[in-house]
Amino acid sequence: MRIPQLDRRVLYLLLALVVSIPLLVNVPLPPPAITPPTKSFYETIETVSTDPKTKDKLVIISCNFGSGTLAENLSQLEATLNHIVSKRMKFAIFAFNDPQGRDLGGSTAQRIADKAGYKYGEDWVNWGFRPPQGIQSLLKAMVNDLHGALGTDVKGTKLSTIPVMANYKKADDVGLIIEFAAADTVKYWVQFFQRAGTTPIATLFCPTSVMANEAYPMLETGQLQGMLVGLKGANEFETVMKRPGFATRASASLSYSHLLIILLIILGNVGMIQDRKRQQGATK
Amino acid sequence: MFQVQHGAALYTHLAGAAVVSVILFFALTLVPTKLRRPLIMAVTFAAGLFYALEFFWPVSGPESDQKNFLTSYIKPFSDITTVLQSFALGLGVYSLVSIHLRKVARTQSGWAYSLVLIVSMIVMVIAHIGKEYIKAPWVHQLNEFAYSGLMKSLDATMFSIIAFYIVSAAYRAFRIRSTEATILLVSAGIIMLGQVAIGQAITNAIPNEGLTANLRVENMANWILKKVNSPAIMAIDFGLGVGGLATALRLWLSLERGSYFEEEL
Amino acid sequence: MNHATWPARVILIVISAVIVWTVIAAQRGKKLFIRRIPGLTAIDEAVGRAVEMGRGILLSSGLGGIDVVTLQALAICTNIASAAARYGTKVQMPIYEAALLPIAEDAISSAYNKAGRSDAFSSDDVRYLSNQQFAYAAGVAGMIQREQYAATFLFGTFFAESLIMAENANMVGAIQVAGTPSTTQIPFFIASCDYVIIGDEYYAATAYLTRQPTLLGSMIGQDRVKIAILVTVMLGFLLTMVKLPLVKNLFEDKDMPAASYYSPAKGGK
Repeated sequence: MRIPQLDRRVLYLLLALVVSIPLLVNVPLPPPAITPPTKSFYETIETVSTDPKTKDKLVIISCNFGSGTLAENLSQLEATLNHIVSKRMKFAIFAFNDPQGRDLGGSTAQRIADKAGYKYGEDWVNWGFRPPQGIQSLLKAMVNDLHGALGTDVKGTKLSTIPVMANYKKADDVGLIIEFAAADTVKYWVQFFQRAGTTPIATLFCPTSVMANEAYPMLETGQLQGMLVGLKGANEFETVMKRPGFATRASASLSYSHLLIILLIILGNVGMIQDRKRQQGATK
Repeated sequence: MFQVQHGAALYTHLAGAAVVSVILFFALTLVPTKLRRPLIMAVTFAAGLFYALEFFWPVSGPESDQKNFLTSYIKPFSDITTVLQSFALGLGVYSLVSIHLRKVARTQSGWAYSLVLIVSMIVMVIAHIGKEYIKAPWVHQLNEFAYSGLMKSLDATMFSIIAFYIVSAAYRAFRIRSTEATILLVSAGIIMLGQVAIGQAITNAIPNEGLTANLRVENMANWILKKVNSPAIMAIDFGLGVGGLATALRLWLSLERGSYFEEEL
Repeated sequence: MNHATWPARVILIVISAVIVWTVIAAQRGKKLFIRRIPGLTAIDEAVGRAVEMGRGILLSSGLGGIDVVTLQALAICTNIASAAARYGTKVQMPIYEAALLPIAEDAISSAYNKAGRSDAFSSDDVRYLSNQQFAYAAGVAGMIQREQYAATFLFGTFFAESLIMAENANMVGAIQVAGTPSTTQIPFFIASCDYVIIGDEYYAATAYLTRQPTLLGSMIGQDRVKIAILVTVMLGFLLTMVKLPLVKNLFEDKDMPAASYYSPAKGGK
């Protein structure tokens, strides 16, 4: 039986079905294996939140993603914020690559913080968005003077007047940096902020799956202490936290769409081999 | 010199800056042609020298606040880039609007889409800038509709299209045409299976300890990513880093004549 | 690293000196060799195809700002525009960064002048689309579907939108040549483009296309530096095998106590 070359519209229809059905209907899926980057991500937060040297320090949650990568980055952000608030750590939302990060990060933080009984200004703050062009000099200035460099929060209130920021004035007062990004923005933290104080700051990265490839070298060298790789990483983290969310539901779509692609590749190759044999037969 | 100004002092500084800019602009147009290139070279070199010197000059001070005599000027000079970007944005908007207005005026093919673009731009400007200065609820509702309702959703939609394109690209490209293509196909397959729960379930029965752990698909995928992919990316990054440095040096030292490497020095 | 440490100072200055020295030697007439790069050789083929089909060419300099990567992309695009203009083929270049618009317009216009076809240049062909990633991608996809280009050249910094542009060009049957230092997008270009320029070939492109002694010399200088890096890596690898450090704390970086939080992979190490 000859396998025909499939029209791309057929491929798109198949993918649409495979992605949407698991989101509408509960499709069974085995639990994911927890990979080492996710394990380290979890353990780093646990360690920072219990170590006497770091547990009272600020956590910077840098949200550099837009609505395009919501499925991955927002799932990661929700799972991580749930962990942070469960450890009663103070955090600051920040964005410098995509202004949508300020809104998406801020609204997610508001929702999760309200549920956890956190108060804005006392337990968490949103530093808002700063333009990417000046981020290098901003981060350098933040090392010694967070209040002066950042100025105000997203609502226009001076940071020096916000109660939660009273004890956090420089890089040494930061205990953890978590970067959520669709680009390689973590390099700015690693280059200009992470080791600029007297002690290095633990840094975690939550990229999209595509950007994770570039971050693996940093994980290997110890510049990053953990990583959640895309939607899969968010799913693993929700499994570790025993708190299933969107990532757990969407991982079925992810799994079956991967299987579809592999199946289509096999079909395509079988069709190609059949065509080659037919051509060889015709020339003989 | 770079202190933030307020009130009357701010307006005086702005007026002064405008006057100096106009004078400088006219002075530049009067520069003889044969002196223009040396002038560009000198300005390029001075601008690059500032950042190079600031990076290389030895620093002093406490470990958390090491600086040299140029460090305090980094932020003000970086702010200049932000200002230039703002001017450039106006230029871009003018270009966009003029092309599409002309299309609408001449009712050329596709003029309706150009009209949609111009109307959308105006609506977005009113909504997004207006919400900062106009307290009327309709402005905020318009912003909510245009930005959160339309733009963010369209952004997410365009990103989602990539998934479909990946399928068609993979179906077309991953063929066993050669040894390298076969290796690419097999490693891509292992990594795809290792990334998802259903793929990991294929080898779940294999114990995750000892030598047999290496047969689990997620461990194989992790190995490929960390031990093959990661060093390859680092190697490419070395080359790109050196290449970027060389190109930056050529630009800084004006080692090539004309714009974009046309003529020999 | 906010400021250079002493090893960084020495190494950067030595690297810069090697590159500048090779450039000067090249300018003094030394003959230099560059190997064949299929992707760049295909540029002429692609332009020729566009001429035969009577359809236009799309050039994209990516999503970068005015930086080294984008200026290099612009240099490559200028060479292509010059070749296309010589044969009277229409060239269009959508721009992502508004500040790049006047520079790109000037560059493409100069390319047309150089080809003796200044009358054929229209400033509408170099247009600003948007500085939003997917708005730009949508705009480029629309241009490709409307204009039905015979060839597309994608050089510069790209992110997720790279596949949108490449697949749309594939749909209209365009021959595609892509080159980017964004390593994450290389797999997508390889899957959807006909020719891809990987890694350092990107910075060698202008040297390859123009054979200018300055550029060739710069490229040879880069190669020498890379050989030195390779030798250092091999030396470090050999010394690590016998458990001898290369030089202890050569770059005087602070110890990273938090690195102990990261536990090595099971089965992988």
